[in-house]
Amino acid sequence: MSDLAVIGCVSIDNIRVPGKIYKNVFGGSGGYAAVAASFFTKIHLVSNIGTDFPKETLDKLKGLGIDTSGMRVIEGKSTHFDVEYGGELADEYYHAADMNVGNDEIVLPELLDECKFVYISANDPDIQIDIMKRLNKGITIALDTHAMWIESKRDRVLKAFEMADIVFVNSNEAKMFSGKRLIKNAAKTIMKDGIERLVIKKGAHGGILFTSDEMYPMAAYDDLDMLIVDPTGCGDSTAGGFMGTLAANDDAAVKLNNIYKKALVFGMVTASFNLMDYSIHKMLTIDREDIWHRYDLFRDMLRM
Amino acid sequence: MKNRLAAVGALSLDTVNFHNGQSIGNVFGGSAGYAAMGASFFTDVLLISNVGRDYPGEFLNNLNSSGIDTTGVEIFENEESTRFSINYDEELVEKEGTLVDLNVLEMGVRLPDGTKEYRYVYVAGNDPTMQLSVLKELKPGQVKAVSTHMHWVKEKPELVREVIRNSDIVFIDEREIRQLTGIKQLKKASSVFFDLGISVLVVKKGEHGALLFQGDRVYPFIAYDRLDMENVDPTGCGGVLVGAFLGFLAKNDDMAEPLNDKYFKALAFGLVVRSFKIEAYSYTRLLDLDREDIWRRYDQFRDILLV
Repeated sequence: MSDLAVIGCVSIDNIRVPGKIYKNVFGGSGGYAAVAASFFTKIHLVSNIGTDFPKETLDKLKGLGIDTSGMRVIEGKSTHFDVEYGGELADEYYHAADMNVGNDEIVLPELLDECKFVYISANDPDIQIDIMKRLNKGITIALDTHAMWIESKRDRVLKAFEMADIVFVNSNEAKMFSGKRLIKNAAKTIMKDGIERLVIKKGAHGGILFTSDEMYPMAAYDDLDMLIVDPTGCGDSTAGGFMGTLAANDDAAVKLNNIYKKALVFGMVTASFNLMDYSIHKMLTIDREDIWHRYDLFRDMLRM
Repeated sequence: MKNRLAAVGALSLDTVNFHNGQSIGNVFGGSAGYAAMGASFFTDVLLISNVGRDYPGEFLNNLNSSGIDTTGVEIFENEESTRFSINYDEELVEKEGTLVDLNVLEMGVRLPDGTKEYRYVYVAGNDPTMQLSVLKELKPGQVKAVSTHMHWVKEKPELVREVIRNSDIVFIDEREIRQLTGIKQLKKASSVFFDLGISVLVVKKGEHGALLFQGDRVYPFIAYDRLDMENVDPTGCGGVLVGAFLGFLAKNDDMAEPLNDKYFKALAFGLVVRSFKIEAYSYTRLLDLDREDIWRRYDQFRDILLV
């Protein structure tokens, strides 16, 4: 069992869904990933927050067992996203993406030396590259990106991908990055550049883990009673659950690819909870047993 | 009634145009033809269709060799066979502009007397008026399965709904169900269909697999795929999936197994046979395929799903 460091954005968001606005709620790719991963192993969250960041939110993170000592408070405003979802929560539109203190230097705490796994959530690829240069050798580095960075800094995103051990993208990003329409074709194109492990998150369609010679597609957990309230952070939660599982099982005597498959399913199962309420509200009401129970349901369902 | 499948619908001569200028002409096609091929690995199949004088005897022979009863295929000496012309882009995604000459299919099919002995009847995607006339001829106790086609979903949505109301098992493509219900979320869209009184729904999602809705539950399925597998021709994949699904169900109709398990396996086999179909042009891969190949890949599929 190893600790996991999650380095990335924590923000205060406005989320607009049809008929409702959730104002000033907890968010950020690093935030969602850390919360999801906290069900599996000890998490050290590394981020910049402003002086306006609510103390009770920090307390909630601590309540999940997350080490928040790497969350540096900087004079100024916290990162803020204002995102709106259309019709059936499918289309996403950003009203605002104010990085604020998120653009300040990320200070890596010394305790990171104890982590064998680091997850760097979606961020400016130059910031991600700078972080990776400062990390110790031998650490397994996982990385995510965002469509806006592929659009504006594709070369740097590619450079960041090449430096990482595991890359996460969603299907739109994979298509955008590769120019392909089918996921397998997109994956082959992306992996040409020497990426060893690639996870493509497909939302309701599940996810696929690609290694250099195999692909492991997995469906997403779903049931008819499960209400979708807010999809924000589900991709980050999938990555968080994945990396949490990986870190928690780093010494397990099982075949590597089996652990990766398990990690992907745990990631998607964890994300399926995140979907059920706005921000991290659902995640604050569940415990490990809920996740394991749903994992078992999912596994039973697939037994032929 | 026999635990067998009757498949009603198109047998066609297809022209498939690929992006690199490569093209295959007048090859075996048609949704009922593909479904019969898919089902033939599991059970006896009666194929009911119309063809014209230009329909190659070789195709009928190949169907017979696959164990398919073609006595329900009526040959119209004064008519032309149904023809489809399909265009794919470089990733084998279907482009707009599929040409259809229904020709002999517009005559309406005649169900052989023996049809009433078949426990499962599949009415492939076609003009809903014609699907309805077939469905109305079927007897109580026969399991009615149908599929749809985007063209008719757009042209005659009311009648397509009527077809669904008259069926037990429905196969539909994810774009078609969204079009028909106006609902994007497949889970929500499915409830509209169950309100029409069906008992099983399979939503086909192409590269993303399929969803099985049955008994208040949804079972998400991935598509069987491997990194070293090359897609060659997706034409007929949907039909083959449906055929294998129904063929398996028909074969195991008496099996004392929970219904959901049966449907679950049926869909897994459907996706496996589909994965063979896509590996070669037209129905060629299916002609040299045997049950052992299918069972081996089914076991691999099961391993992939094991977590």
